Amino acid sequence: MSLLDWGVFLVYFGGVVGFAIYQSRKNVGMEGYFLANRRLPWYAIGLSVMATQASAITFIGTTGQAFDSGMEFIQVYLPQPIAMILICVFFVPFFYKAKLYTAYEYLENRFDSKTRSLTAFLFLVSRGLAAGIVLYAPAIVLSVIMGWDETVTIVIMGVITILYTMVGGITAVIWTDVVQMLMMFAGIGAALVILFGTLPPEVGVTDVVYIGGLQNMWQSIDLSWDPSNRYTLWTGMIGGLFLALAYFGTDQSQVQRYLTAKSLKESRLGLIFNAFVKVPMQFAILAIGVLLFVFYHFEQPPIIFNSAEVAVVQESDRGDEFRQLEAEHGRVFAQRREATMGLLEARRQGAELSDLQLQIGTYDDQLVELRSDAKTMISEVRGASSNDVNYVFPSYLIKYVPAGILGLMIAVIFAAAMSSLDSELTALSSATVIDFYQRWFKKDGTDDHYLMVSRVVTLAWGAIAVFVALFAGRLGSLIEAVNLVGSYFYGSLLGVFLLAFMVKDANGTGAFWGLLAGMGSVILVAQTTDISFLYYNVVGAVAVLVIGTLISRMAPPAPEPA
Amino acid sequence: MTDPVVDPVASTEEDDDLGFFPSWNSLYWSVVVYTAASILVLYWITVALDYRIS
Repeated sequence: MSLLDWGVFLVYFGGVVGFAIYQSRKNVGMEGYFLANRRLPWYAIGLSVMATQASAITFIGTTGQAFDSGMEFIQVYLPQPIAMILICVFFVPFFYKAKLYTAYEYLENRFDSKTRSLTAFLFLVSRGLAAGIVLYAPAIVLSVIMGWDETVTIVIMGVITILYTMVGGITAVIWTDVVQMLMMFAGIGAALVILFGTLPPEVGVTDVVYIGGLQNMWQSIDLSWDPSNRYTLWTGMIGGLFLALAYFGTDQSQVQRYLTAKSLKESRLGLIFNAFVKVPMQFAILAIGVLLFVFYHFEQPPIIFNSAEVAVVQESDRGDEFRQLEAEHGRVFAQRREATMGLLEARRQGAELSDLQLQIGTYDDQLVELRSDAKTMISEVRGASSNDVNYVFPSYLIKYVPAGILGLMIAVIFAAAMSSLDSELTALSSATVIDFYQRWFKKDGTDDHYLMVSRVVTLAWGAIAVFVALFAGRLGSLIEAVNLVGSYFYGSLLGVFLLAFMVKDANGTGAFWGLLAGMGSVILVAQTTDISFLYYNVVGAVAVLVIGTLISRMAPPAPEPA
Repeated sequence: MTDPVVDPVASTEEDDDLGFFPSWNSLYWSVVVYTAASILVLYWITVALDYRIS
């Protein structure tokens, strides 16, 4: 990076931390630390909800995914506006009026302490490790692309985030999320403009649309009924709806955001803001990927963007074989480039296009196959699957983006990671202190005592996140297992809340065993069918509702411990 | 165990000033229409911008 890039980058960091701490000066006590004394406006809540969901991997991984397979991923986001309405109507009033600190507190009010503790525990385990991945994933990408030391990147991102979260609490987190989300909007806009700017001058907007369409990269809706395909309209609208309800309606990292609102109306408006903005934003991020696909019709792309993987395979005994693939990839690319320029010229002159289109289609298929062969070879040499999608966009940035803008774009990647991590830390801290420490260990502490404990717990969770990130490479199978458990319990967790809201005679015994039975049902379905994981959320929620209702009607509620 | 029941309908609309929108219902319906319109636009993009030759 140039001096100008570093300047932009450092101004961003200094500005964010200063702004966060300034905004948190009015916080009072533990309610200030975890709920901003319930005084935040809708736009801050809305932007923070978006920033929490959008991690660095959303920004760099989604563009890479669109580069490989087009816009189809947008279907997962389509039910979010509907989910926001349902949450506004059915979830927010329950949480807001009960003056809660955490979503799980509600489950004790409604059911019993063991249901609350189980749900809070599941949240802590999955989110605790996920917080580490939020740091690890962009750090590993930046280490390969920028040559930065992975440990230093993780520690810098982690320490700065822990610092402002620990000092300023949720107020600092939400206001930094606002800045970070605005940075992401600016970054997305800048990326689109720059991508158009780096295309050959004779290639216009209609040409870009046309070249993308030759490989059907703009396909955003798939109406097929295949339940094993995660990217169809039906999988998105059904499975994605339940996932969105579970994430925005029951996950403390999101619920905590709208509990900070100065009124019920502001909570709801924050969510409705998301309903309108999320789909266009995701469309723009995916469009960056399709533009990259078009861009690399005119500039030679590497066969594999992850240079670390390339280095490993080149130094292995299959290095010559890999170099042959690279040479073949270069040769086919040159032919496709020439054919593409010819096609655009023929199109301008109104000439016959079908032969050239077929020719380009053949070259595209060959390039996809060569890239797939390279990935297979890398997997065989490394003994682990190749991960290339996260490197497509960063490798473009480092090579083609002008000085100053590169600093902005790298700051955006940092912003995306930090705005997710800070929300995880406050959510983890609130669930630990409110649902466990205050509930089970010290009920009569002073506000100052809980505030001090909350800061220490935030620091501890931050340290765990940094630790997990530093050792994530060695924790592979453990992290996969935790992610798997996360996908198994998310729908079931939603089911417990639906049971609470919808079934008046449901009790704690039904909720607790219903939750376990729901998770069991999801594991059974996952092991015996090949349906998309998005449907696990439907299975879990419905199983808890049905089994929880039945058990509630058969078994009396268990006596409550003090 | 405290009283579990909070009526979400009775406990809402303390402030109905939603600017352009006359009521919460109209705001929610606009989100539904917006979602349906988004799907239609994306479907149009899918069909209209498919230049593959089979």
